[in-house]
Amino acid sequence: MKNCSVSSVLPVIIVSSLFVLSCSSKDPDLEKGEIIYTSACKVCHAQGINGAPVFGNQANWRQRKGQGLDVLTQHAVEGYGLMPAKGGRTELSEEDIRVAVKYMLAALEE
Amino acid sequence: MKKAVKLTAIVGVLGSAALLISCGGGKSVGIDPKVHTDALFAVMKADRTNYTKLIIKRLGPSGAGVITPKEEWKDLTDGAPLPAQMFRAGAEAVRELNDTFTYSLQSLWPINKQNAPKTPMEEEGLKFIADNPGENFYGTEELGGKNYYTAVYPDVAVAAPCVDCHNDHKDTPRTDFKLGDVMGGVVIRVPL
Repeated sequence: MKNCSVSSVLPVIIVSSLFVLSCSSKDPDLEKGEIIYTSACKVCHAQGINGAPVFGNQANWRQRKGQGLDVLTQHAVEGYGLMPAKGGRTELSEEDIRVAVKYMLAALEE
Repeated sequence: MKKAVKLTAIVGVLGSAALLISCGGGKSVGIDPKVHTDALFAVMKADRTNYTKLIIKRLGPSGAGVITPKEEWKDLTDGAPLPAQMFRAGAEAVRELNDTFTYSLQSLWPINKQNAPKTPMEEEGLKFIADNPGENFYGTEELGGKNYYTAVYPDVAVAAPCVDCHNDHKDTPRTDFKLGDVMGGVVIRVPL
């Protein structure tokens, strides 16, 4: 134990810190997507209100996932089924909707 | 003889212990109340969504146009109850059928004052879900000497007619609802 000096554990600490940092740096789209999801989409998609596919629920998203980001974004922007256009948040841009959809799709990969 | 008595005693103690363990050691067994209320809400939500999609949207003005969904649906020969009214009708029918659980659609801004929260926990739950969109509220309360598990789930403004009706209604206490707002909550109460 006496041999365990600071200099000997320093490389371990540095490597560990770099590893943690590399894991925590998120895709900026996903960071923005999470903010938009939380403020505008979560109210329905956390619960499956009015048939909304539930966030992170593989079974709910199985069919939709295959349609891809572009189609799902278009559906969300224009409205689809019982979902109103942009979920009723008309102030959101198409890009806002795209990153929110991207965030929801990424949750299925975790 | 002494040895046999000792052995019988040991077997007896072990047997009793095994029986206690198999019975849950005196702990109450059964479904977790959260799982219970979540499951009830899933059924209610699915039925309401299906009524909206398969009846109102398909046969109403945006579909075949053969029914008229309206608050005063009873006054029309082709009138159909709004999804929220259909939901309330279900809650009333369940109340007549059994007394093991109750559910109701309530709001901090009810058009009908009867649908305002009646207990401090209902009010706390409705405030929580309005302040935390997408989250549910769970708690326990004592009413009339009995303990209840009370869950509150968000009721969201999902269509323009919901928003317009609530904002324009002569009895509404709130006129600034927008699509996506939490307008109230489904309160499910089960005895503990």
